[in-house]
Amino acid sequence: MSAFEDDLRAAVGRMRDVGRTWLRPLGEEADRLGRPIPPDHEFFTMLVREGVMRRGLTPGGSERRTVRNVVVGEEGAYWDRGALVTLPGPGLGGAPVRKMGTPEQRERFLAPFRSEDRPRWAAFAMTEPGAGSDVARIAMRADRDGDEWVLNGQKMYSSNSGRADWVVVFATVDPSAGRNGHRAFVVERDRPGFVFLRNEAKMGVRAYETSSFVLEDCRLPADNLLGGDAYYEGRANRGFGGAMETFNATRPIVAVHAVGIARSALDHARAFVDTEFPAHATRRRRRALERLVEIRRGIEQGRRLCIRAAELVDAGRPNALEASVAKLYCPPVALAAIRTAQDVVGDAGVRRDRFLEKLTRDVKMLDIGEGTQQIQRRVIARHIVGADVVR
Amino acid sequence: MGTEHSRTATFASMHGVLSDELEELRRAAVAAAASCAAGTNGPPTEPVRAAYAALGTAGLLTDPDPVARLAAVVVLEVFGGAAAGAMLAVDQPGPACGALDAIPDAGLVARLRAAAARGEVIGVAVVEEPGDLVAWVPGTSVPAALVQLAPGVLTVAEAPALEATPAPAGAAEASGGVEVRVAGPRYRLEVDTFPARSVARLWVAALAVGVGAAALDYAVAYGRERVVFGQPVLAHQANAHDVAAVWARLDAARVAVRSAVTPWAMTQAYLEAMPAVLDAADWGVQLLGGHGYVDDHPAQRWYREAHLLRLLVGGADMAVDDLSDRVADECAASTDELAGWELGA
Repeated sequence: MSAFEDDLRAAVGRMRDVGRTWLRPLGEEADRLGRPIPPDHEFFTMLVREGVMRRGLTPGGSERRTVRNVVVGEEGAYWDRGALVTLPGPGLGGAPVRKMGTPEQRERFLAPFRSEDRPRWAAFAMTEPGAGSDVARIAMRADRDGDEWVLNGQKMYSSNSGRADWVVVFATVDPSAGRNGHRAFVVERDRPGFVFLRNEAKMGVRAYETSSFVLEDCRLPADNLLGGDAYYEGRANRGFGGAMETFNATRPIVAVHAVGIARSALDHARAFVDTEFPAHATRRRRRALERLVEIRRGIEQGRRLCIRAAELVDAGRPNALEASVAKLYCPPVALAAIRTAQDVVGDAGVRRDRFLEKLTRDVKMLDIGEGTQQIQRRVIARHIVGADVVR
Repeated sequence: MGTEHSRTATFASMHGVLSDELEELRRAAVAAAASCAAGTNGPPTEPVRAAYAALGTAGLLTDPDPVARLAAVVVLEVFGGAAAGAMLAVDQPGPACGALDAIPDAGLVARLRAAAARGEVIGVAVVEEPGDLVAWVPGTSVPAALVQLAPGVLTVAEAPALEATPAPAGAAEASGGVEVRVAGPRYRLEVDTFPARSVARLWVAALAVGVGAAALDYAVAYGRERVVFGQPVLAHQANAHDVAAVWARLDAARVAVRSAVTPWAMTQAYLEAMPAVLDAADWGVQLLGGHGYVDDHPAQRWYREAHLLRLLVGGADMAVDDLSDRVADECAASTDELAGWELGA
């Protein structure tokens, strides 16, 4: 067994402990109360005390970082996908800083996450009230004023942005230029002009907050522009491209959360079969086992697709197609797994089973966030048919 | 070949992304398959036999080296798209190679391998119950042997004990078909035949993935050119999104087939592949409309082949049955650390 596998096995084991002790109970509590886990919760202070902020939940430096995050991410989502997203760290904000940022920016924005004074979060904000899947339409304005940038506009559906130290905000220097006008900024949440609006009332994954905020004449120093001016020179759509590269890196990680949820449903159904249908010869047991085979096929297959897409990220190879295939495949598999598990449990599910019902609400988020099913189909179609035909 | 490939084995190649060397092999297979003259109904058996043999991957499906197995799968995919009908008779022992590995009688195995090397067919029947058997086997004459893989019982009957009568070949026009009845002594062994059945399923699934890919590639090329309502067929979102979904499902099936190492994974790959291939072949006809339905185009052939392949080696129900027998034990590992993660070097 390789050292990499040893490390990864240990990381999965740690995530399992955290999941069993904290993620599952906190996720269920947040679901019941309809509010996210508060940022000052003892769970987060415990993580800081244990040194998780310093070494992360998937230690091992940058070697095959995406693969690590995929494998450990599945384990976390198995216990509770909503609570998993609350884990302190740069989160989805980290990828654009690593991909687009200068070495100085990477140090400036990411180094504080290694300190142990308090839990820290970062966030990512692309979606706006008038621009979701069609990100070229974003209206958040960025105007240069001497050594500063001035940002104006609204963002929504930004996870953890209510508790983040900073948010990567995509804005445009020229709305008429479409995606060519895109720029990415790091906006510290304590900057004047950063106005928190509200946490959305979500159907599921309630343990983390999904928030809206407004930037009103929010002034940033020039070096909060990710990559600096040089990054955007030469190629017109570098800003948009950076966002897409970010998605390519994060989609396998989000997709595998669906695999974790599906595995949760599988184990739930299997435990039910073991206790309720113990006789080997009953038709009901036989039919249930056949359906468990089906769930497990989706799980094994989803994993492979996520790992493939992640390996390509870590090898520095293009993975847009593979990332979209993984993201297209996994959430429906998880939804089908939950429905199948509900069929296995039968009317017992209606009477006393809140767990699978929660999973049905949690999993639908994954069909929408980080690129909808329709967007994945569009990405795939443009790859296989050609962007000249599929617009 | 096995050791040659294993030196360049990469983790990525375990998940369907081919190493440079395997990609080179795939290109060689495409060229070899293209050299067999083909109308829209596929090439005849003999040129396919020569082209396939020259690639040297026949029989590697049970090679202990996973990369050699992957090489065999990749070549089967290519030849599935080019000549699935002929391949039923051409790749011998092909689907039976798992059974051959399970037979402890060295003399019998040597006879069967020699027959396969002469191009004779080893028929495989995956059945649920041991006993008398009538099986459809590709080819036009009496096969060298018929291997019957019932749960717990492996039966082999050799040529003198077999009676063959011509039978409709369905989509397998290139290979022809005979109905074979066992009418004499047979070799019988009580053994777990699940691994052998799984190899046969992997063989079928690899061919089928090739059929689906060929159907989609053809339809995409057509849909880029053919204009309806003022723009290419595939510029219409209803079609573009459909092809993306069908393609993604087939891509997932290809990853499953290329990654399968254990009997469990081979049978799951088969179950993943067959509906995906049926969808791809169906969509391959649908996009062409009337052109897809007539033999001016190969879409109809891939459609027929997909439906034929689906019925071989026992079909989906028996595959699910096999896995259900194992699911209680197998599933027990699902929450184990890294269970199911096929981590490579």
